[in-house]
Amino acid sequence: MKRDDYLPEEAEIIEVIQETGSNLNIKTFHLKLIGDDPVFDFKPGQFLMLTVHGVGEAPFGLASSPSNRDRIVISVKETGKVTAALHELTVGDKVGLRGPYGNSFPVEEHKSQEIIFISGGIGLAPLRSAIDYVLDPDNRGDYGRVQMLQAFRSPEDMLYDYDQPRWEDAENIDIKYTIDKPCEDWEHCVGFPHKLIEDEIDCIIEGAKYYVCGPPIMIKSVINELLEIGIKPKDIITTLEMRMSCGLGKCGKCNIGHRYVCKDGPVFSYQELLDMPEEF
Amino acid sequence: MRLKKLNSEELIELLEIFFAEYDLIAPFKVEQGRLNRVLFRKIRQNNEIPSIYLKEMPETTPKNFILPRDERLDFERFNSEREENENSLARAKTRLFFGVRSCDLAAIELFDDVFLDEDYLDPFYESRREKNIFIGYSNQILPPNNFQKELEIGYFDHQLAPAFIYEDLEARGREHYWLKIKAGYQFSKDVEAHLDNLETGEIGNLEKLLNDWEDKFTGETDFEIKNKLPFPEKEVFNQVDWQEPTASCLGCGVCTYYCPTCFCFDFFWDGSTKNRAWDSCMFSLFTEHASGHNPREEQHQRWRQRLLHKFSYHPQNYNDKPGCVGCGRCIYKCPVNLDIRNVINAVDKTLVKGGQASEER
Ligand SMILES: Cc1cc2nc3c(=O)[nH]c(=O)nc-3n(C[C@H](O)[C@H](O)[C@H](O)COP(=O)(O)OP(=O)(O)OC[C@H]3O[C@@H](n4cnc5c(N)ncnc54)[C@H](O)[C@@H]3O)c2cc1C
Ligand code: SF4
Ligand code: SF4
Ligand code: FES
Repeated sequence: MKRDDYLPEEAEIIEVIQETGSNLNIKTFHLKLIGDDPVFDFKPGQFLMLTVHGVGEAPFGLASSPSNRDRIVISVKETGKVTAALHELTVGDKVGLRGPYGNSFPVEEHKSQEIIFISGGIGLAPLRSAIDYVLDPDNRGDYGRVQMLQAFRSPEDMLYDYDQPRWEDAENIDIKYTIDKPCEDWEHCVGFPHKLIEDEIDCIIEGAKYYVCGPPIMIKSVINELLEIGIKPKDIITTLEMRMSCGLGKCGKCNIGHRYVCKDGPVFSYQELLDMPEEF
Repeated sequence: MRLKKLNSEELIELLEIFFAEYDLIAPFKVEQGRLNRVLFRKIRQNNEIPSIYLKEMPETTPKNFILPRDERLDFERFNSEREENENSLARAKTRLFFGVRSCDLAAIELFDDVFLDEDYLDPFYESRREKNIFIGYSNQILPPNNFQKELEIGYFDHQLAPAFIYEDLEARGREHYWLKIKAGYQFSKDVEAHLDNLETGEIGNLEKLLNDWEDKFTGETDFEIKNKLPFPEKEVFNQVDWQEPTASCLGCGVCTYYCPTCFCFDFFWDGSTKNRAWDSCMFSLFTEHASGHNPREEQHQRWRQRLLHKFSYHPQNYNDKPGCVGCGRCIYKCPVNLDIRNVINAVDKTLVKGGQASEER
């Protein structure tokens, strides 16, 4: 039986990376647990609850591969109280964290398949845990070709520029980037991701899995496009965001129908979403 | 099973012994200007005992003591005591809740399902739930708007209560109160010694009395839930007209705060201390994201959540048990008299119509 007393454990910020350029509104935090047991075991797609002491608590998707056990990575967009306070913190500061919570990307089930990651903005953060897992040399052989379509508002909004060369150099991989509007010196695609799927991705109908993550409107239009092409709902995987307090399926905040996004999600296949009331 | 007959003085004597032995919590009449409210309160002194008021359904329930409206999640205190005393917020005395209606006992059972779950155990709840005794109560007045019978909750017994007291408001003397104690249950020595001195009752007589009450209650209620629970979630979510029956709702949350089965909560910080407080799905901010996006923009969508949580989602997650015990409080406490039974009727009507339509096809 799991016993969780909502008690966050102490963690220290060991690195802060300013991700985005002009907006300066996304930062990546590397954290380390301080207690007797510094190991934080999780699966790709799970999330944690982070406490900024005296301010509040908020959920964030784990953004690193679980194989990297000495640091916990999250990328945070400044939107309100907790995220603003977190953005003020720096290396050496302490935060609280509890978790991991939720289910995970079905990376085990999808072994030997091709995987296509489609992200919008900070939606790349939770996908990063699955990307790094699949590209991990220990696991790479278990999966087929990997394709990515990463969408950002502008070149300034791109995430993980330090990861991109490593990802591009990985074996059997194809990465496309797109921004909303044309701009100077941009050599990649332009336009919303759903408009680019047909031309830019080698869309495999059988034996490929589509992981889609981003703002709700982007998720909806990408999924519509994938269905149009003939991709089956069970092959489309996405994560949902709802307001959350407990992370344990108890506080009653995050339900869609009888399912709790914090416990039965945040990862759902589109097939599962079809069976749920549309309330997200 | 043991059955004892008591008059009013004997009941007070019994309560005095309970008070000496336990932390006694019972319904009280509290004056608020011209209004009287009946609320569960902890008895502080012996002379308060005659003011315990049982006749009318209390507005509050033991919920307020087991999942308080707000509580400090005081980890330091909690953890040190956990080591000493195997998980309990060391409470010197057992709490005895006296005069709890069967529907409210069913509500505690529902809380246990949620917070003492197999895959998750809430230690704060657990500690408050330890060392409690509940003594049930009923009389021949059906609480206003009560529909517990439709939810298959009996009026005169509940498994959480080792003892039940029945008050025959029409009888005087030793026939006024009947105390039923379940087989094998033993109170403390002092209480037992006192019980030994009380007159034993005839079970047949009590049964006859309770049958009469039940018949009377049946005559008084005509509400019916036509469709089986859980309501089919997607169908009901999409097809019922939620706006019409809930249009007058103010979103005040009163219904959820008085409801003995509502358990939604939120955390808030007081400096560096984490607290938990009741929250309500009837509030507009309940599901609002930081981005401003809100999956439930309108009040009727919040009503849909409240109703379906109780009659579809909760039963799906907890062995078909409804998330409502039919106590009726939300109906008489609502400032605009919005009646949950009418909303259930709207669901029933839609489902029946849908059923007929598919038969015709
Ligand atoms: C499973 C999950 C994973 C997430 N992963 C990330 C991530 O990797 N990076 C990232 O930047 N953001 C992520 N979010 C969104 C992030 O949790 C919100 O941006 C954050 O809660 C906003 O809090 P705030 O205090 O700054 O905003 P405020 O508006 O001040 O919010 C006040 C309170 O509302 C709640 N709240 C508001 N919006 C949300 C929301 N969208 N989701 C949940 N709770 C909310 C929080 O409990 C917060 O304490 C995720 C959300 C979920 C549910
Ligand atoms: S008490 Fe009545 S008005 Fe207030 S939220 Fe509940 S249904 Fe709406
Ligand atoms: S929903 Fe209304 S009738 Fe049902 S348990 Fe709650 S207060 Fe009682
Ligand atoms: S966050 Fe509390 S139920 Fe999901």
